[in-house]
Amino acid sequence: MSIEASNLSYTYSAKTPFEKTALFDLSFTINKGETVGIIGSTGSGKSTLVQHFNALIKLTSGKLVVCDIDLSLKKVPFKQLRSKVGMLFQYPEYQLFEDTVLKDVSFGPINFGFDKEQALIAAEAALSLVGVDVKEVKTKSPFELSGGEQRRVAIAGVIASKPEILVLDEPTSGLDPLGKRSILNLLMELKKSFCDTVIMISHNMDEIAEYCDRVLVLNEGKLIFDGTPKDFFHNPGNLAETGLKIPHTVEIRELLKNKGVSLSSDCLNVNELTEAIVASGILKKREGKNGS
Amino acid sequence: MDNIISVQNVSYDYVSGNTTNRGVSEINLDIERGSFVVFIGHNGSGKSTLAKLLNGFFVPDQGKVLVNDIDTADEEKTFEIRSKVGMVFQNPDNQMVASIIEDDLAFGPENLGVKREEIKERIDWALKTVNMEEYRNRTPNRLSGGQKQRIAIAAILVMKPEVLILDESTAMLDPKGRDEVMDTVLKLNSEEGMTVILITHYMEEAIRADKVAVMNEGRIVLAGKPKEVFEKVDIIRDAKLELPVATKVSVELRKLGYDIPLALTEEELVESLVLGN
Repeated sequence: MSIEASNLSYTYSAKTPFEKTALFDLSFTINKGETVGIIGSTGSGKSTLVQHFNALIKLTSGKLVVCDIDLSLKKVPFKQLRSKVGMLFQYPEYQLFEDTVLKDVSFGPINFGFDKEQALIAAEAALSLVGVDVKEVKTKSPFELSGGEQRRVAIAGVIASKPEILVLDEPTSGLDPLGKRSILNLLMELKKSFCDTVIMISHNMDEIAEYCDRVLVLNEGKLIFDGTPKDFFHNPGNLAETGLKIPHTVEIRELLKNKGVSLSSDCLNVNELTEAIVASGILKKREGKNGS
Repeated sequence: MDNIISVQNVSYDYVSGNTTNRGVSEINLDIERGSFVVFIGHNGSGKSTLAKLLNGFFVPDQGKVLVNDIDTADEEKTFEIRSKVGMVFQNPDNQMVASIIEDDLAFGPENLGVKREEIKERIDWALKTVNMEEYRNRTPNRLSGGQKQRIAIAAILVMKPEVLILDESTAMLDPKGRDEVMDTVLKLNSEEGMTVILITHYMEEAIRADKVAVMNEGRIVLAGKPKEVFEKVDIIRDAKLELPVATKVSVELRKLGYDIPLALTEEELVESLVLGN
């Protein structure tokens, strides 16, 4: 079990005029090995929730156990917790700060008690994992790199200390389509090595549909769905209140259904959808008509 | 044709020390007054550089940019040009200046010497346009990313620019937030006649444009109406862009030998699939 939350609630600025409850009574479990998407419109509490996972926000109500560490205890071993839960914020490249890439990436491991030599080894290993040219890049200033490279270096900085859980807040936002894909493929690669559990916040429903085993859906601080992307997106009723949009593939399937054409439910990506359209037989007639 | 912006054979490079990085090369582009133009391209393709050349933020190394027939290289006119061409960036945090939203919005017009009463009216209008009226007296710190971006757009609207440039301004928003911003932008374009230039990675946002310019390696490799552009599947792929899902499906089906037209939207695709059934 990676994360177990029960009756987790959180209120910002409690007992002040700005009091705002961001999370209401959330209970869920995230298992080792899962790729979990957390979705919801802006202000639904996604970031507040994930910041609880490594105690950046202190647990005030309910129970939360992360990597067997009970966060409701009086004395939480923060350092141990944070070395197990790697957190990548939105636009992580804004947090690069050192004068060389290698120093930047080794900052985390040094903080978590690696000696300098170990930290440098870990940093180089992390850099090669994220797919940058280590030799070329390590002595450069992080600010000389392109946006996509900066994001990779920032991810390297988090994975250098080998977290068991990686939490990412919109890891692909601001990247172009190829950049998005390569970051997502990188996450899948990381799962094969040391980082068993990946939790990501995303606004890109197509991405969630394709890469996640499970989705947690938040709406105004409440957990309104916990299940597979397929179950969630194929029941459009789920979406009406959340301000989210169904993936384009599902939308096409729904529109076809309204026209009386039913497709098999397995079409969350373009290839599956194309196959399902062909399999439905809807196009045969047309091909015959225009075939000559 | 009445062009509000005319880019004539423009090149611009980034020079720091003895390294030179390509910005844009030999760009020619006319932007018609009141039109909705989209620049698409991958990271580093030169689209933001081009945008920054349009309001005199950068001045071309070669060629010239005219805004309302004024050369952006004319330093005395820089202020005039920037008040006509407003720019909203990707990260709204970089654009907030005050601790109360109303003050943040007043900052620009106050600097231009707009009268107090009119500033109030403009703020009313701008907040209404971005659907954030109830946040007038709050602090931007407590807003979500999407809300902040709408405030950043409002902060440009109060300057009453003739051209609004959005540099990946929807990248941080949720799907609903993106739709709201897109609807706002389209409304400004169609109802207020504002010229809008949108820079994006999302091909979906290019569907409704009057003109789409595809950038790759600092050059405009393709420009035209959305349909003309999306048809050139190979150029799009070389430019490292992804077609909208509906277009991809129609391209795949065509590859399999089915005779259906290229679709830009889900509705178009479904229409052509059920046609004749």
